[in-house]
Amino acid sequence: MKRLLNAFLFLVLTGGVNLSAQRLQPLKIEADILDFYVAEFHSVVKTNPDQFTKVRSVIKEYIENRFEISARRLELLQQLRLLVQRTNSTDEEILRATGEFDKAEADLQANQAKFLSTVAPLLNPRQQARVRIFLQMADRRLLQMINSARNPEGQK
Amino acid sequence: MVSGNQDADAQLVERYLAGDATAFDEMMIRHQRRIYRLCYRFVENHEDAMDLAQDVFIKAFEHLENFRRESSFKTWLCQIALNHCSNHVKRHSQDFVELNEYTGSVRASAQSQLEDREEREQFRRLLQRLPLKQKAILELRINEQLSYEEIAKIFGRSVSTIKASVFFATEKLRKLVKDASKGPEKA
Amino acid sequence: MFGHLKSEDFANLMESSEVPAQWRQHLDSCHRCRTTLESLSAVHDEIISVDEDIPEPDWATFRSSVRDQLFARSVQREASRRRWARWVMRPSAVWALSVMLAVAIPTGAVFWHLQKDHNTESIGLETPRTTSPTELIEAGTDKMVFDDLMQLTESEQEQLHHLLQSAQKGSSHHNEKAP
Repeated sequence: MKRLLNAFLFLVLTGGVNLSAQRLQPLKIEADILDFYVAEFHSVVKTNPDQFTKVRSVIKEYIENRFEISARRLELLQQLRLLVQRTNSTDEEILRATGEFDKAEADLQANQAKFLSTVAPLLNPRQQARVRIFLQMADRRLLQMINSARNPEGQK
Repeated sequence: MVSGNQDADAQLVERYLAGDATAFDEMMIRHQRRIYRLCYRFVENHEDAMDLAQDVFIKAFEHLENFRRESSFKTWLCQIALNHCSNHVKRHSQDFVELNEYTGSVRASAQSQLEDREEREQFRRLLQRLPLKQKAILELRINEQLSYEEIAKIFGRSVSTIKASVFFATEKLRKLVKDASKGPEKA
Repeated sequence: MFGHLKSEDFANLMESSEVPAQWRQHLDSCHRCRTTLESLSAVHDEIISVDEDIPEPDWATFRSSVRDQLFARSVQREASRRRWARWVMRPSAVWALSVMLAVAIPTGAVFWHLQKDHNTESIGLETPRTTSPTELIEAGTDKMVFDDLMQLTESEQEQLHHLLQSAQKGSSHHNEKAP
């Protein structure tokens, strides 16, 4: 048992330095996040059951892409940070990393644009306007909950 | 009469919780108009009022087993509606540019009817300027004709406080009407 | 002010067609109260007439829509409950979580502090965790939300899970209290 624990500790210690740099393990709450966005979408945009069924898969893809792009973006951000801190980084390395980071930023925008254009034909104009509001409000609400999760005492 | 209505509501709640699907329609029919009109008072447009009213009923049915029967079902439902509409207005006041869209049906009418409608439209706009609570109390008392006791229970206040609110709300509206009649810049 | 009608009295009088004798006498002699009552009654009648123009929905469709949404929400809740229950009940997940939490949290904390000391040059690219909630919300863009999500610890994820579950149940607990 002690050997097992030591081995585990060794693994954690050796992996620990890069924990913040690496993509963290897939979030256990990804399904919760998806359900949250689906529920918020339905609440703000007011879909009927038929629209709800069709839009759900689109929202799922949008959220999954956001996770993937964000993970990639965080890794690239960390790489940029390390490259800038290192004195021996070449201009080519920095430019390449900068370009990849900019691409991740662009992918975020493209993901949102794709989501909006995919849901548009399923919704009436008023609902399409509400989708824009949904994007703002859902993110804001989730951010508030994340802050509450981080500071449970401070929120009371 | 009041207690008879309350008994009917109580029986419908029990039937619904026991799985009687027909109770759903009966409960809705009894209260849909009141809740819809109450929601309309907050948003002054048909589509949002419909959405809000639907949300109210969804919340009520989803949490019917938590209904403690300390008040009547009607009172409880009105509380849900008031909370939901207040939250909606507070949440959307920054996101929605125009809350006072008038979506009433357009009918051909005689000139006097049109003028009456325009007057009522202007009055409705002035009514919108009242604080949310005052608007809600006026709607519940004057249009839905809830008793002062019922309204007092909804708001957790005394009957005399509610009566005073009715007075102050009407008085404020009277001043708004008076200022509006002096000229557009005063309204 | 003494002897004039009170706000409660006006509220009662606005609605009733009959004026009690004690007030009738006062109203006959008090121009101020009489004028106030007349103007308030006019506004009161106007409030009633304003309701005539409220467009009403097709009630059958309205009820159908409520029924459908209740059904869709119950399906969604059931699916969510099954997903969470499946993950929590996996024996390997339970074992792994408990061991990792016991070891990784204090170890991670030590290394986080060590790394913080090494990062002497701040280039302002990383969102500081000490940013106040208000600043985060005001500056908030979508990338910040998911960035923060990706950096949550296991316990913070657990906390967020509970918050999301509460959010799903809605704000109905507030509906039983007075507004």
